[in-house]
Amino acid sequence: MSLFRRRPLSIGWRWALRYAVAILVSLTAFSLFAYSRTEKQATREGRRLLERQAAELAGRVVEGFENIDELRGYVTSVADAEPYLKISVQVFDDNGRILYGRGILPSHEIGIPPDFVRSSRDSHFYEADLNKRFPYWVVVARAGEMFVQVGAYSREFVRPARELRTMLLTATPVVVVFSLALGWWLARTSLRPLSEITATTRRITGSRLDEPIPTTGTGDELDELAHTLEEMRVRIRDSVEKLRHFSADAAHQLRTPLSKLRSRLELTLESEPLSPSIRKTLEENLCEIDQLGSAVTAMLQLASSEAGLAPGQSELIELGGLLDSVVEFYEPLAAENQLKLARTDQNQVRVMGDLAWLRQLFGNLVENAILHTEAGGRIEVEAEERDGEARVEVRDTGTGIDPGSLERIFDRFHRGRSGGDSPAPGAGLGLTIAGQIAEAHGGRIGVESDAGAGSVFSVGLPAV
Amino acid sequence: MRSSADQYAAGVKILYVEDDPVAREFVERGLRSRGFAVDVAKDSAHGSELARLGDYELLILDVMLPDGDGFELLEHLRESGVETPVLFLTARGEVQDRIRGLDIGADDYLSKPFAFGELVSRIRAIARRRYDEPLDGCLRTADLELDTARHKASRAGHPIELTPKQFGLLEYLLRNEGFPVTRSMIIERVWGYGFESRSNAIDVQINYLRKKIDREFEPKLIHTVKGVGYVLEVRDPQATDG
Repeated sequence: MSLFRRRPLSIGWRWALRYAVAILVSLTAFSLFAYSRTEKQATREGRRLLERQAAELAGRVVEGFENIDELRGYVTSVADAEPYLKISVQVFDDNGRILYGRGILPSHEIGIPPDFVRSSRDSHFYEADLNKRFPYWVVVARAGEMFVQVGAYSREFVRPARELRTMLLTATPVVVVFSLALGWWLARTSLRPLSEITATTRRITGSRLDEPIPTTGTGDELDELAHTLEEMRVRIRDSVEKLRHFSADAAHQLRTPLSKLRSRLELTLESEPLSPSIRKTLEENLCEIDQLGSAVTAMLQLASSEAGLAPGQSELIELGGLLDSVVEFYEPLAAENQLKLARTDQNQVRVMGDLAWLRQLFGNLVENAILHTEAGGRIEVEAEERDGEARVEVRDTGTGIDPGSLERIFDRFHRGRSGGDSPAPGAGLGLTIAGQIAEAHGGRIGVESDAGAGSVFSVGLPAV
Repeated sequence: MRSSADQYAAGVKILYVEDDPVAREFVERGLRSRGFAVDVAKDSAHGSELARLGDYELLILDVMLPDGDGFELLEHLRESGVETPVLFLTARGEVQDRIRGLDIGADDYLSKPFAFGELVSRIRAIARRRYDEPLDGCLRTADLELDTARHKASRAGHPIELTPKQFGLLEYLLRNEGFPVTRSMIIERVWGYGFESRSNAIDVQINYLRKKIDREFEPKLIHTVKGVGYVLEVRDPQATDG
């Protein structure tokens, strides 16, 4: 079942995203602050400018003027003081009539606020409604009996703030994209030791414990992780090594006395005149010793396959040919038991492994199938490569396995199949050894069975 | 009960290196009783000295010795030009140990505990291996002819169809004509390591071969040797055990 599953984002991308969000938030906060400060500042300065111009003009008007031309001169100089602000100016006489005006104000006839006229203040700042979209700022000031009015669009004053806003709005996406890229790069750079650790750790199996995990030597958290894993690797390697030594020692300790016992029995049987009953007992003892020897061999093999493939034990193996030779070896035995044993495909599948062990793995499965299938049955061996996995199935039409013992079928000394008494030495370990060999090759073994209809043993090994 | 093959043991001089005195005594006595001439050494140093001086046809080495392992001893001997065939006799019976032993130049490998018949069969197989390779690539006995170059077999001129493994099995028996070979020797030499069968697969294979070789012909050539294995030889009709 291969449902499409979305892969979670890599740490690199997650870090980059967080980084970008952090940048975005702080940049926005900064922008809001900068914009509001700039706007407030610009507003204040604009108002002051208008008040200054109004006061200056009022001063000149109070000083007096010869004719209208001189007044026009005053007005022009005030209006043009800051050309970009497009300042509008008008001067009223004591009756409230416009003596002279310039810019947008004269055409709107907003007059002088009556409140101000009645008050005793020198000047007044207010926002006039020119029926335009933008607020218009006006300062009116007393010039003796006359009044001067100076005004400008407020947006002209906040233009620098608006320019800053535009700039920030344009810059933000650019900065965010840039920080995303930078964050990704940073994360990738700092995580690179981690992916090396992962790659090495993945390569480490029972058979490849000799490759050290790379440490950066920087002493940071990643380096600490690498060191911890490296210590773990060394510990595992040592215990695997100890296990290998143990099985060699145990072999020596168990087999040497067995061997002496056997030789002694054989020599006695050969050289002494013995009564038939003693001879029979001794011969039976000889058989028991052989069975014990086989059991010791099987258990030691189990111990060594649990320790995994020894380094240098792995070679490129074509499973198709290997299975053919297994089938060929057991075919006469199957025929003797009136069974059909055959490979059902011609696939070539290549794996890395140990030839003798893999022969034993599939030999055990086929032998097991032969032992548990009744005359007239079929045993099929099939190999194929699927999703990078070499898959071998051994199917029989045998007695099957009852569901209760299905889980324990690969356990040591389990003789659950068909429940018959099987006198073969080492029996009960064949499937366990098969399972251990599969695992030592980085593979797996499984079984499905219908009681009465047969079993399917399947082995999956990493294909090359 | 002596087979006719025992006469070949005469003159086969063996050096046996083993540190365990009890095992040493039994093997020595057993081999002597079968007509082999046996010298013994109790450690690697003594063994190495004897192997270089004596004129042996076979060295039997224990892998675990008090002063170094048998593998090292063998490497040492091969380096100093001793080409005597070697059989490892050891309690370390892992297939990988066997392969390592054979890789560094051992001729055979037998793990403890072993049946004495097995040891004797293997010794004879090694001792014989150096003799008579026919010039035309044809192996013959009685009216059986095996053309190893063309992979053809015949009896009394009648061609016999054999599968490649049956051919290999027959060739192995024929090359050891007169010498019993054991089931595990057959598996190792004809099928290779890993087929350590707990069932009677080899007996069935032999029966198939017998049907093709012996059923319709006389004399019968393939015989069962009780407690050991099989032998291919021409026997007196009275002695044939079927």
